[in-house]
Amino acid sequence: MADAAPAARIDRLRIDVPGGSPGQARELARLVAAGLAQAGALPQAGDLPSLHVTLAGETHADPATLARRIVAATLRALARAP
Amino acid sequence: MKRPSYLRQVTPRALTGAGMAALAPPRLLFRPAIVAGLIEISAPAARERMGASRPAAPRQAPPPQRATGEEASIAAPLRVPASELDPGAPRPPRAAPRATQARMEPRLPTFIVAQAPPPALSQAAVQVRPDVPGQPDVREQPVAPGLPPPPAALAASAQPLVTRGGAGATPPAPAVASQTKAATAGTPASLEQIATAAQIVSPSPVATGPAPAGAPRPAERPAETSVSQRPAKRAETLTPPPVSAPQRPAKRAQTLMPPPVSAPPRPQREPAGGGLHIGTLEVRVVAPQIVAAAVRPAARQAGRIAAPSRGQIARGFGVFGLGQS
Repeated sequence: MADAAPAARIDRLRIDVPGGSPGQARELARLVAAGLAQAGALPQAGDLPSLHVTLAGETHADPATLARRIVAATLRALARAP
Repeated sequence: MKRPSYLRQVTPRALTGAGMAALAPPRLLFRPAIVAGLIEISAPAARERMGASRPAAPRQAPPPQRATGEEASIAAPLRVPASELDPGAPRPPRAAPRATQARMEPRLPTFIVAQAPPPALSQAAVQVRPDVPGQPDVREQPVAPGLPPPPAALAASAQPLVTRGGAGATPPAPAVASQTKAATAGTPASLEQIATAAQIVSPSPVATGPAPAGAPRPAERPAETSVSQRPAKRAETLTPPPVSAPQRPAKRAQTLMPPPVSAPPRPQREPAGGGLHIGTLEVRVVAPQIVAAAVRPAARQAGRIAAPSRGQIARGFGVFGLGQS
């Protein structure tokens, strides 16, 4: 669950990364939420019931790097979303 | 005279033609004659007996519109003409039997009126009548001289109605009607008093309009007494009361209207500011090997389709090494 800036709200954030611990997943979710809050390319308005993002990458990479990739993929998916 | 059912008219023709009833009318409830006809036809033995022994029923002319004994007892009050209530009017000839007449007699409106007379036409019922411009004031009319004083409970219930409305207030009609209804449970009074009460309560133009000098008063005709009391009941249920004071509707809404049903609370999903809202963001990170393995079979399939004979040799020359040169 990540509460973004006042302009955006995400009810539920689910990150599926194989080979990680719950602590790493919690850290990754916090970084992703912070990255989305600081991103300036978010749409101003919209209501999406669900958004699925799939990216291929090194699952054992640095959490910050992985979070940046996740944020970039999420922004691309948001740009493609109607 | 029992009215012949529709089946009884149709069945003879159908039985002679196809051996069974071709038309089944819709079943009407509470009609014993129709039910008897249906039972008679649905039973096969009875059908055979009817087709063999019973001759075809001749078509009968529609019977006169006269009800049976049960129906007469129910519909008797509605069919009594108003001229019967007047002893001076000539009675039309009646074909009903004496037993039916005896059953109809106690249901006359005059009997109803005499059965439930008001004990006393309370003065409060006269005082709280709404003032209509261009209409004679009922308060100044002499109300049945010699009336006994109203009961203490009725006077106590009627007094706040007058004091709350003020001098120019117009209390609601339901209160007047309920007072009249409450007054019908006591000692009997004369028909003149009942007619006067009905005239005061009734909003009909006969009772409220300025009556001409030579016109007969409705109180002199007992047949209209019950008729003029009906609009009073209707006004009790349907007519909204005249509003005189500003605090009156609020009180009525508190007493009569049911409490407003609040809608169930809906979950707040939309942000207050109206920005971006994502219900569930699901991110899946997969390994690159898995992606390559997922892509590789498709590429192999595509290459096979593009060059089907690549790496194959003709049948009969399947010797190892020939195909590789």
